[in-house]
Amino acid sequence: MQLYLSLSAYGGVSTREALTIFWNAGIRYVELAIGPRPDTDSAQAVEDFRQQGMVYRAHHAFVCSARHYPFNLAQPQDWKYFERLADYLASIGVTAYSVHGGNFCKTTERVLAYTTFVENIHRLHRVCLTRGIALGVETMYPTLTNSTVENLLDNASELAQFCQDVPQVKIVVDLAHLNIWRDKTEILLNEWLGLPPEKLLEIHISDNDGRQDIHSRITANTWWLSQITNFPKGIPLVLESRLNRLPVSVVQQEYDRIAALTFR
Amino acid sequence: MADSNSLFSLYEELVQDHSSQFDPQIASLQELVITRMQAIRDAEQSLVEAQAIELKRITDALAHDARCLLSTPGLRTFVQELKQTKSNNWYTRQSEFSIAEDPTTWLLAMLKLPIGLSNYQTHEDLNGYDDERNFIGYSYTLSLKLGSVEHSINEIPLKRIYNVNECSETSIKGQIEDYIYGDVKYLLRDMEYPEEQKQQLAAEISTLIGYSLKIFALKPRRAIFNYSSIEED
Repeated sequence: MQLYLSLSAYGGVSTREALTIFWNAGIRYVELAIGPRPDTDSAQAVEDFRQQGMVYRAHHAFVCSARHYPFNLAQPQDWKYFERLADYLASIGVTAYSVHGGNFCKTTERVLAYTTFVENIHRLHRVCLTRGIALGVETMYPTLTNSTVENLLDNASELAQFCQDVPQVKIVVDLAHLNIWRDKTEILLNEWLGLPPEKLLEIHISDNDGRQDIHSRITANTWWLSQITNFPKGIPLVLESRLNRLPVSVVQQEYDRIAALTFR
Repeated sequence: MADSNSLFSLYEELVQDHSSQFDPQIASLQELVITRMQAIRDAEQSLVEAQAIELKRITDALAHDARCLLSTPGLRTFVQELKQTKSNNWYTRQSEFSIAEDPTTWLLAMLKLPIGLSNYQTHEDLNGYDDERNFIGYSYTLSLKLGSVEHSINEIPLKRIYNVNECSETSIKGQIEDYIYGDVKYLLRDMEYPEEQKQQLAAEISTLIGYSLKIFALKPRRAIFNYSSIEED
């Protein structure tokens, strides 16, 4: 089981600084993500480390230039952007790209947002497929009641529906997001992790307080830890706990600690 | 076509006239304000210092045992306002978070459990980010001592600025119910109180912390001279 470290784990610095920390911590599997400061050197930094042997996957609105481009797939999209993005991913050897379930304003209808989202995913899947990239969609989580938006795919029944509606697209199970689900159980966890391996793109791991996605570190109390031996073999894990500003030695310890947990 | 000299010359002459008539008057007014403000600064100094000493005494008292606030009218009013604020209850919170209007009747007042609050600090993060977007974030942290054990309360977000058109703020009720409450409940988990009491204590301590933020934010009152001629336009 490969353990990737997400760039979101080490934000607030340039891509080159974050990748240097990871490289010096002995990490060779990295998921490109939001977190690093957007800058003109981002793509070059990614390329330089790739040539040294770094292997990448990519997630949602990852940082790859001086301008960050956030997007919400429950809304109409600029497809030229996604074509360029997929070309870029193919050029750096990325074969796995995942996106979030879209979100919608609470004053609008969920069903309309879902329909737009599914149409966009069909199209994004085609864009990725022609470039040899597998597309995954991530399980989301219920937002706080005072939030003005809600996430699609924040519950088991909608996710099941989505799997039926778009069977050709893979699923990214985020165990920290599932911790916020209202209907969270270990049975449910095993159900989602029990999807056919070809249906799972990757598994995202971090921890939180069960209310908000705060990307805390995994502890002995982390809810899914007892189930780790049931995790499907061969599906990459992506560690997303925040390690911002910590020295190389701590990043290395944390990565090695989680690697030891997952490989035991 | 009129040449630019004749087009602008009359206007520029008027500007020049205005400048020579009024600039010296404004400069002298500014000088007067600076001199008077300096005199006021000197005169207020001892009162400002005395306030700072009193504020230090208050924050020391909070660090020793913030339950000293339980009998203050300010906390009572704060609780009343909090209870009247439309709830942003998170889905399981509704049944959990409830407190009595009169803090002197709280469980916290009956137990031998000193609550120390200290190290209130605000933070600015120019490179904040969530799962989807970057933002400039403002937050605070503080230390909570339960009995003899000291803990740090996780960073509480106050404001996130996503761009010039969009920002989000966390209401005081949101800070208490969505952030502080969960942290306090977690810190109480190993203490030897029945589960129901822990829930009650968590709600009371969170509210006490929420109110204390107003006190930590207090600064000595100083004389400020606000005047802008632009405001009159």
